[in-house]
Amino acid sequence: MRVRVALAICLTLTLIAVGVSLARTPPVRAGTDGTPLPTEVGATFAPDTVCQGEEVVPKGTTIVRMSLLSLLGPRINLRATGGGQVITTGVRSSGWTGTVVSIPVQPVARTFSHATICFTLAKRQQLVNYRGANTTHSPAVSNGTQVLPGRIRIEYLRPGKESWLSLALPTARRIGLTVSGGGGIVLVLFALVLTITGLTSWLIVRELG
Amino acid sequence: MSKRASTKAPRDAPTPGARKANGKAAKAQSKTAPQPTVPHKPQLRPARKRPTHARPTRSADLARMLRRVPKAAWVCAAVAILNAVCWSILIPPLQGPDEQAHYAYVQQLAENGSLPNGSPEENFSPEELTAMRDLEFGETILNPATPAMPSRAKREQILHDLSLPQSRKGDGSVGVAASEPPLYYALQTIPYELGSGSNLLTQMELMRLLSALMTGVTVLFVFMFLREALPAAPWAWTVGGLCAALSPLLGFVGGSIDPDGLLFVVCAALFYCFARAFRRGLTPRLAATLGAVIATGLLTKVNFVGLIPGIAVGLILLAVREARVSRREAYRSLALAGGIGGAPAILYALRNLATHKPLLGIVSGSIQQLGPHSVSAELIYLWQFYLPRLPGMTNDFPGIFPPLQIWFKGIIGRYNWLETVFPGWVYTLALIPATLIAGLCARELYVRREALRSRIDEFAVYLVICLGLMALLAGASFVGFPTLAAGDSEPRYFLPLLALGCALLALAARGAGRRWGPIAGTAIVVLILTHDILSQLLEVSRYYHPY
Repeated sequence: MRVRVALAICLTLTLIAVGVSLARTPPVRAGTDGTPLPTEVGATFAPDTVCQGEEVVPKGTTIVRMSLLSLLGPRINLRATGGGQVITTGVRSSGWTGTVVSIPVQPVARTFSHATICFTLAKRQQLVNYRGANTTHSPAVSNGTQVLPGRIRIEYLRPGKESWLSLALPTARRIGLTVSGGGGIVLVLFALVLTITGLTSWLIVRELG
Repeated sequence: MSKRASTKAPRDAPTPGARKANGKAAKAQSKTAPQPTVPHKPQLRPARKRPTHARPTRSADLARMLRRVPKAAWVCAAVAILNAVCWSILIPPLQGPDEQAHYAYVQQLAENGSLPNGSPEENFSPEELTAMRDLEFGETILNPATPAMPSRAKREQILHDLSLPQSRKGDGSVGVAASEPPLYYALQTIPYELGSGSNLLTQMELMRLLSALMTGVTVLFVFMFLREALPAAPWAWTVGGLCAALSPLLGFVGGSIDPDGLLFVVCAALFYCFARAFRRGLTPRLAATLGAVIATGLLTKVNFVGLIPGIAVGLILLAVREARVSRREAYRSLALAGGIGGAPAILYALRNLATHKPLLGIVSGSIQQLGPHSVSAELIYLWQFYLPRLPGMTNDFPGIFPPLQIWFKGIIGRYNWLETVFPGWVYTLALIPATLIAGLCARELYVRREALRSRIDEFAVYLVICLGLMALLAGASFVGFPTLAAGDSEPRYFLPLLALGCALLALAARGAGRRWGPIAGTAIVVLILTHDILSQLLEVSRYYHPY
């Protein structure tokens, strides 16, 4: 009996955790500097500070997504300035992997044009590539002196208005595009997860109860 | 637990109270529970007599053996298969770890009928290159901002392009899979051929289903290992088995085309065989089985080499124990296991000699790469790859704390190409249950220290196997250092030790005591289930986000 009660409590907590996850709103793109990909405009092993001007930081931005490639990236400090004031700051801890890195920042109160984004890479033992496009128009500058051959692609994200739950249908359709069976495959997925949960619960009650 | 088994292993046996608490489960399993022997005293076996009746067929033997597997083990295996199928649906084509290379290897075997040429280039077949281009493989990997299949039009285009007559033959280069042995890929040619009338996407789905089945077999062996290693608490087998079945990392690998899937089967079987041998003695039959498992491992993935030192120590210890009863039989068993297990390596070396290649083939290259480095530098790197840096050591991972940022985070969730991660606070939160589980496990190990001491040789073998694998992975990572620190630091490389990990979780449940043990076990299993479901939702948010 005690195992049944414990199981019921644990499954309820699971349901709550799943519910909370689905109630979260995924961030949406608020803007981008329009720099195309995927040219490499620079790379560094050493600690580095890179600044890039002529950015437009949209109102409500909470995440700045930089096109940096690393397999075990360093800690990044980001600082956006414009009109003689600090627009926002953010930090991303070390250990990230990918071709883009999302840096959470303080929400931006209004849209800032002609802003400058500076990011500092901490000490590490790992190569970081800057990805973007070659251009002579306001290129990024490394360590205050070295002008890079182009600009790094930067995107600005803000919290969306729709939760994952309300996005369930379009998300299901997308899953259906990658496998045979179309959007209906999500029902199969749902049934499989329920079966897994059912079998697990049955076995727990049978063997542990 | 049967009465006989309980009385034979007093240190491990549950108390009457515990048996009462577990009554139903214990009764259900009493028919199938293993009969442990007293440690260090191999069973005396009566001299074999020539049977007067017809010898049962191998299939009858197999059927009898399968009937002895508890129902709970089958259910755990079924859960594992279903879980891996879920993952196989969610992982977009070619987005499993190095899946493009593994698919190319299978295609090479199936279409050209020959092994890859050893080149790490990716000159795959025109068909696969078309799929990679249409699926925007290069843009999607490592970039969480890029979804898998952005539109219906894109899907139509892929289906159209794949329906065009295109060659399925590459030039024999299969990328990073070039150095792998062929067994897993050879098995995958079966679903590949079954789906050959369809397109690449369907073939991949079928191949992933075979990987999912392998996941089920892995969990079956994990359960059987727990049954041998922890005979006193049948309910704990279920805890460990379900934890294995619901492991999101196992589901993730089992849901993609990856030779790790077969490696996990082999390693779980290996641990089962060792646990059985340490409890019942190394019979010639078990030795032959162990040899077959070792041979299969060597034919499956290079990483298996890391387990060889531990396996050798295990076989020697078992033979020494067996020699106390019959020296002849001990040597025979050792020779059987070593001979069968080493056969693939010997044949491979002979083939290399005959074709004027380096004796150790691809392994030779790795050894040469390691050559110029200093041993002390490598040892320091190896230490810091897993453990906190000691005073006086050079810092090989500045700004990174590998035990936490690579391994713990890896266990909690770094999927696909390691770029799919939970928000940072999840890893911090996960430290709480992880610490509780570690504490319970430590408590149980302390309480059962007498039993541990009596089985010290068995645990020493498991430890050497772990250390061997750890050394291999750190050594492989060191090859790329200092250009690339912490390369080859994927947590899935440790899933060959899944059986041991699940034993620790089962011990943690037992560590809560007789009264609370099953409840702790329930909580641990549901925690892993929740982790699995949330990991699948993470996968959905990574590849199917609408923004």
